[in-house]
Amino acid sequence: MANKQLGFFINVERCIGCHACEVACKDKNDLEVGPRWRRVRIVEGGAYPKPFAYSISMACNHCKDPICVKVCPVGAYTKREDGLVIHDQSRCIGCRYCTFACPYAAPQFDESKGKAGKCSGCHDLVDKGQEPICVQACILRALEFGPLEELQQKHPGAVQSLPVLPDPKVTDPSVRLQPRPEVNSRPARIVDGHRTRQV
Amino acid sequence: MGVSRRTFLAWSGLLGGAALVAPSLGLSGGGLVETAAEAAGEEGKEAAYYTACARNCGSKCILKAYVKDGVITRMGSDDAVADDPNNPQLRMCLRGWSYRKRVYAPDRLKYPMKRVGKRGEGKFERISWDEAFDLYAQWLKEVKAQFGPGAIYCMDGSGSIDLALHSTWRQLGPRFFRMYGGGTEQTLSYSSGARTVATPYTLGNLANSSAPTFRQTKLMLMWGWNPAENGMGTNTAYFLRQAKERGCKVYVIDPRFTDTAASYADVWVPLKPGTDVAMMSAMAWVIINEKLQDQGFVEKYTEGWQEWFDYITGKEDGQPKTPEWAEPITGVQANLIRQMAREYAAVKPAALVMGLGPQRTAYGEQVARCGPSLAALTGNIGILGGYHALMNWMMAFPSDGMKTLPMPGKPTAALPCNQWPDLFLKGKSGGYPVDIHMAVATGANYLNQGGNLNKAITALQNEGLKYFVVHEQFMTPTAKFADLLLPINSLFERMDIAHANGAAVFMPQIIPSLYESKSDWEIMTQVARRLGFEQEWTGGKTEEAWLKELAATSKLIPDWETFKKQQIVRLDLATPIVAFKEQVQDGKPFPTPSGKIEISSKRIKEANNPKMPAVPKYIADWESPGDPLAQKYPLQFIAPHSKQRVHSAFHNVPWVREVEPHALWINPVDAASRGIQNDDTIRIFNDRGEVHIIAWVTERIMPGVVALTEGAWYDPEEPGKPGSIDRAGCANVLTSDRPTPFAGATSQHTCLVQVARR
Amino acid sequence: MKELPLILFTVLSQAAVGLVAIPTVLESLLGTEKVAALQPALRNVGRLVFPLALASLAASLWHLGAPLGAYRAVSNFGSSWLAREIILMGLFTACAAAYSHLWQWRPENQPARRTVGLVAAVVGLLAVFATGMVYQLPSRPDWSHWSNLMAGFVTALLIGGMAVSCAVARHAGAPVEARRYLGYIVLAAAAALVLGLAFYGPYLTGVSGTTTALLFGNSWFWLRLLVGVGLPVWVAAPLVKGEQPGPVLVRIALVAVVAGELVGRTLFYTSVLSQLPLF
Repeated sequence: MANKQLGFFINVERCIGCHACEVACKDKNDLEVGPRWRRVRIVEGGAYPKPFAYSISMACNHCKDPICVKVCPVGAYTKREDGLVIHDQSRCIGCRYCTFACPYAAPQFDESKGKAGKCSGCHDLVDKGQEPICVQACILRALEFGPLEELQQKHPGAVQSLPVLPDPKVTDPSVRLQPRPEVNSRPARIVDGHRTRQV
Repeated sequence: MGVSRRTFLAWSGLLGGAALVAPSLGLSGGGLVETAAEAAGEEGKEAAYYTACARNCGSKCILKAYVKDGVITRMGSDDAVADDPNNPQLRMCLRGWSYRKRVYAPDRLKYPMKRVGKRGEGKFERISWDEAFDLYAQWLKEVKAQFGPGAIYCMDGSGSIDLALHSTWRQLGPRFFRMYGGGTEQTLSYSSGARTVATPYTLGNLANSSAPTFRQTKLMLMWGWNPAENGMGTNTAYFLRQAKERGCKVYVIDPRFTDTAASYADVWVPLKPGTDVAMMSAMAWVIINEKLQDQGFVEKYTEGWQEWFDYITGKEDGQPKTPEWAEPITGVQANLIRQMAREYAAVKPAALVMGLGPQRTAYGEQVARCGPSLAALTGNIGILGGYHALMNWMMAFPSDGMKTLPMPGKPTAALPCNQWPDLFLKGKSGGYPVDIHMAVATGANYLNQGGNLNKAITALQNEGLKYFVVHEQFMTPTAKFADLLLPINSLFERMDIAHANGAAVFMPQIIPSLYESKSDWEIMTQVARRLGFEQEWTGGKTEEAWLKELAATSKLIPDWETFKKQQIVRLDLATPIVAFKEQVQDGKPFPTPSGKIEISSKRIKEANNPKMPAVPKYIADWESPGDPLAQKYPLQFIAPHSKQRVHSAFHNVPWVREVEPHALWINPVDAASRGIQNDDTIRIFNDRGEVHIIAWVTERIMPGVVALTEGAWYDPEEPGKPGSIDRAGCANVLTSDRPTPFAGATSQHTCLVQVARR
Repeated sequence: MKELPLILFTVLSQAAVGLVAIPTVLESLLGTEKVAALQPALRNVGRLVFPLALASLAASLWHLGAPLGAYRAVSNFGSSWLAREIILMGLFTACAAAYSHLWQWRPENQPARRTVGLVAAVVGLLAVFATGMVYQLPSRPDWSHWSNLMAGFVTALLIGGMAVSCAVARHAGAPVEARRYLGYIVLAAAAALVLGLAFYGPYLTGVSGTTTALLFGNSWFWLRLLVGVGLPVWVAAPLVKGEQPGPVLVRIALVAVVAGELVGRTLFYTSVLSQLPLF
């Protein structure tokens, strides 16, 4: 094994849903309105006077078995030695198939460019020894980035998936999440930007 | 953005402004300051500078801007030091990250303009700066000569705040008009008027503690306090998380299940707006009745406690303020009130921390005095990890003692800011000391942000108001009413010093002033020249000379040149600041007439205002469920702050708009009885106005209460017409401008509405 | 509508495959004499194959955000069913060009036509299979069912079968066997469609209630079954008996089946894609 798989740690217990990571990502990647490569989704449930809500900030999970790499017709996706999954927008033909295929909706179609795009783990910053911009931006220090094994050791309570998230068996996501008790309660809806999805 | 130097030049050229050689460059002493990347101004090379966010959110954070060829290419965070839980980096929020979209917003005002249509229609024609300065000076001369300086109203908003030089808030405007001979100034603020007047009657001043002290807190009552969505000071939310991780138990008392409640609360206590004092009184009754109070503290440090006890126990008015009494008023179960009271009295240190929302109500003065009284009752004042229940918008930070711009002279008159529409309309005939004939707004979107927007429109359109000058960056709802509209540059386009929360930051001019925009300082310099007091205004100093002089008064800032290079100097955040520690631990007197915490105030008693009792009491709000008006408008309407805006600032930034919808929060019970479903467009209305916006049907708000975050830019169906339907969801179309009885402050959260499907 | 290019691409390409596969099958099954009698009818169908394939290719390019790079699809042929689909559809269009060319300019060269038709049909059916596989995604269980894999073939046979029936109805002297074969094809396709849905319904309910509601709760879905499947079955019933249904009725049934397939495909996409991103 040449390099350890890199990944994100998302502390769902800490996250207050402030969206700083999300906008930092938009700024770093110069995204117009529409694509949100890192998205803070709010999971709501319960009933008055005992509702619950928690936020999940998620970008690309740089999966061990990335379905985008497999399905992209033009091979625009590559998995680097350090495990980061990179999308080469110059190769992309905008077929949107990756946006259908990714369970986490990490690749998103950018109408302004006619191409897909997704979180690259800020590999340019990572290569310079810096953290991805979302991690630098997190005001609750709820996001971390690094070799997945180390993140797991640092946060022994962290898990690979939550009940509200897609089945991790599909892609083996390189992500660890610190859960909070509410993740086991039945959610009523997921708020994603201006979209609300009943579940 | 991806604006290349070439397209940027073409763009500014097209607009007729030689933006890259704007005079602001010359004034600020020449170009960019070299820092880490020693590449300033060099074509094709990227440089990075720190600067600070100077907005009125309750936090002051460090920004970093990467610049290439005179254009900001991306933002960065505070990375000048390693992140440390005790002294964390001063990281910015989503709005800080969105700055490029604000600086390069398509709706930036580009050149001076003069009104051509009816006031408020938003029709303007472009004029030159010379013409603008001449007109500005001529109007001021005319109004001053005809009516005296008091006829000029200085509407200084918080668009730019806490900066050494370019603060609009309580700085540039007042300084300018005082030098010109007076002017009518504003006092208090829309945020904190009632507590700013009332709390010092109890505690003596508004001293605050620092957020890291909460790490010692074992029980917190976050009362109408929403640090997860409002800044409350950089890193406050992070220190609170550290408190939680150390086992602090948290109650969140709020009609909404805010992000704060979702993130921190062990128990959410929804209570009806405006009934805070009823609940606090009931808690006090439990504590007194069960003899749980810190009697030693009460006797040693407080004044007039017996009088308050008499009110609480019912000795005074025959009504014991029991939890059962409070339950129907507050909507909170008596047992829950009892439980909270017992825990608050038993666990030490415990912090009752209050936001400003509860005091923006009809009798906001009462809650501003009741909280500290309750904190005194449990002996939680002046101790590490306790809190004096100050209603606050920003925790305390260490200070470097830097002086602010000198403010010579006096205003002709000064009135609470929120009273301007009434003042404009009535003047002396309404008992005010002056008639207003001209107004100058700097950093102020007051049409949008004050209560009763439709009344404010009539105030701005009244014929007595001859001239309205607006300094602005964008075409805001207030700007549309200007007679003269002047484009102001952004904080990246001028030099300054800011005090971030825990650091002094040198703010270099990072990019040239865009288009023809100028700073308020430059504009005032030009107008002062025409009015003959330029020398007094500038003191014969350049902007940089002023900054250098002020920086020299700081205990922290090194010599000027070093500071310019270093950019950030920091104070230690980990050293706890505990308000009233000297009083409680060292026996110093409280800064009140009695030297004690005045639960009962003689001075208030002497004022003899029936709506301002000497001890804090529960008085039912005018627009509340008990009001006959509730038959027609049965829902209590509150307008909390949104994380997407700082008041109305950033509303025009698409990156923050898209993270969450702007909608009316309504409980499913209230929605169902009106046939409203999530995302339906609805009407919200009362006698003051009507708003059309989508409904956000959620279990996260208590039945009987609806909430629409303040700050969305009023978008009338018929521009300039009072009473028009607003399509943007501007809360103040519905709120009232009725002042509180003692402070004369805003009571915007006391508001009844009806909601219906459109 | 956002997915219109994909709907047009898949339905048109599958129709084109049907329009080459069914005449080729008929020509292979019937003797020389009978083929000659059928030739004028089949010629009208055969000439249509290439324009249809070309239109479908245009729709597929229309779907792309950056169509000029479509040729790069060869690069991930090894793992991407979408790449395989693009390549096979490209090849099929080339075969379709040859096939239509032969019908237009060399209608007498039956052996050449039959060989080209066989190649085109095989490539086309492989392409239809590739299209089906594109939607067999582990992350989209709402799509990943064998009935969706079969749907493309059903479309090809239904539209192809009805189109040839229509042409046959206009030319008296078509052999009875041709009508019988066409009737069997249409009935088999309709049966496969209904059978697929019968299995898909309970499967979908187990996977996603939302998709179930969006699909089976949609009145267009039932209208499509009634008209887009019912009418062809109505026409196929006399065909299998060797009888000739009225040409007008057959034409109406052709329109119904095309419209039905377009509606079905629209529901296929929107019932799932309107929910994305699922998380």
